[in-house]
Amino acid sequence: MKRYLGFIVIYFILIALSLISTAYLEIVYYTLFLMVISQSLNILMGFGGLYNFGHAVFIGIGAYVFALLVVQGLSPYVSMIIGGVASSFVAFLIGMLTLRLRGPYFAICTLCLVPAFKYLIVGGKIAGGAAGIVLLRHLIEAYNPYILTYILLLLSVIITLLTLKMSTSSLGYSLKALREDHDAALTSGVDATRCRVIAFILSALFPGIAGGIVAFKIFWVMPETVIDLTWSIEAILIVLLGGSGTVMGPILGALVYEALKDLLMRYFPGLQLLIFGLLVVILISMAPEGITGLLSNRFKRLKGFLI
Amino acid sequence: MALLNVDNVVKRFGGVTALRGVSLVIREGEILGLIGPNGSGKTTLVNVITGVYPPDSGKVIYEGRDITKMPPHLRCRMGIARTYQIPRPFNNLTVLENLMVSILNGRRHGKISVDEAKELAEDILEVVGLSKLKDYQAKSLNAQGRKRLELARALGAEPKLMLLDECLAGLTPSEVSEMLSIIRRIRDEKNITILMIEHLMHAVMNISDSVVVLNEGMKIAEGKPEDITDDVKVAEVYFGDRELALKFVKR
Repeated sequence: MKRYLGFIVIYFILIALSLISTAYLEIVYYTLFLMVISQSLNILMGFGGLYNFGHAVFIGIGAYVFALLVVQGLSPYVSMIIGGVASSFVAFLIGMLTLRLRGPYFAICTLCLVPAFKYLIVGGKIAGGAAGIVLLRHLIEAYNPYILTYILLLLSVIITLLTLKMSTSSLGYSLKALREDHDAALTSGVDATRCRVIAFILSALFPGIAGGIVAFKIFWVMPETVIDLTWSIEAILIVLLGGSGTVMGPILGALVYEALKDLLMRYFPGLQLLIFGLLVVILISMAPEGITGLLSNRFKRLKGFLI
Repeated sequence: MALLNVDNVVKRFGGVTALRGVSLVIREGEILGLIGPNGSGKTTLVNVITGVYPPDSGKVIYEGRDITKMPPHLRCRMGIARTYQIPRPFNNLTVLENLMVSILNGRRHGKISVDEAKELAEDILEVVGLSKLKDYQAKSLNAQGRKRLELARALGAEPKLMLLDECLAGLTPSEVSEMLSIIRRIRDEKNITILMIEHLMHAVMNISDSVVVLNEGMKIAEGKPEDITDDVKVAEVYFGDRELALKFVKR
């Protein structure tokens, strides 16, 4: 029970905040969105040690599939889930090709995914090309910011439970082993490609669903708004900030990031990511396990809560 | 009966030929010592057998099956496990978790649950004497602990054939004799065939049933340990001088 307590407290605070006012609701919504994308990224990055700069593509795929289905008259909530499944399927295809590569090569490959996907839609004039698809007419009646926020909350809880389960499962051990020493893991019987593809598929499911929520929120999918490399980078920064490979890390990271970003945007508008990157570098050089590591080293009493 | 046949294996790295047509046979139940000067191709041969490198030509046959093109993790699951010369533990995992990796993935007898794997891991840690350190991170182990962890991780896969790449190097004399008794115990109790690379002559001559000598990527001798010590060619390679070698062998 103790291991769940920290998470329960955080989720309750978020729910309480969301009920104060619509301004707070907005902040909670965005914090949860960042939690979902960084927690899902953590599955491959934290456990598997693979940096995926293409995470934003999964949000985009989810958003586009969502839009195309909603236009056909399908329920937005069903469409979200189908968007997630579609993005997992794309992850499977991309993973089979790229996850044979090791560390940096995989990272570079995924860096190309965001522009590639953008140009595919704009150049190929797919789903409305650069103009995108407007969803206002189809969704305005169903729109409820509370429901969208709580779906994100539910997703975040599911990923938390999943990563908790995974950290002591065969898949979790295998991914960590591959991260620590690829060759030694292979000669210990770990099927590298299989483990990583499974992790990649899981990792792509949640941003896919979240993509549907983004599209729902802004009523408009177009390459510029739903395929944003910034999201990939934010997710990576949050994972590093909070503690790569820990369950609590991305959650704390997202909370701190969202709080700090507001301050930075007020005092250094436009430079927030740059300054943030610098902060992360300083933090990582002092505490390689991010905030989670820092806290559990400083305050031994918290250790049980920070997994 | 032959458990593993290495047949005329050639391995080149750019201009360097590390193995020039090496053949050897490992018989079931024996401890085979593999010796030779530095750079003679011993570790490369282990890498070819475990599938880390594909050979440029030649074959590796295990239990009568050609495994030359099989990926490393499948070879592990067929019962070929190894240790690394410079230990390669999964640093940020605990000792127990290190072992869980090979038990959950590499077992010859198929997959088991995490709880069953934990029990097996505790048993193996008992055998290699790491039980007390099971919850420490692998990076906190000393040299001896790391060598033992390598051995434990290889045992986790329940191998038929274990390739020990200098598992005694860097240990103190008392640690060496402890390690040798562990290796004997593994062979006798678990019925595991062992290929052992070693520089420590008294150890390898003491424990091996037969010995193969490599030099510059070629096999220059093989036979019983006592025959190898009397072999002029082997002595020459080690002394670097024929006269000296002849004197030594006559004595």
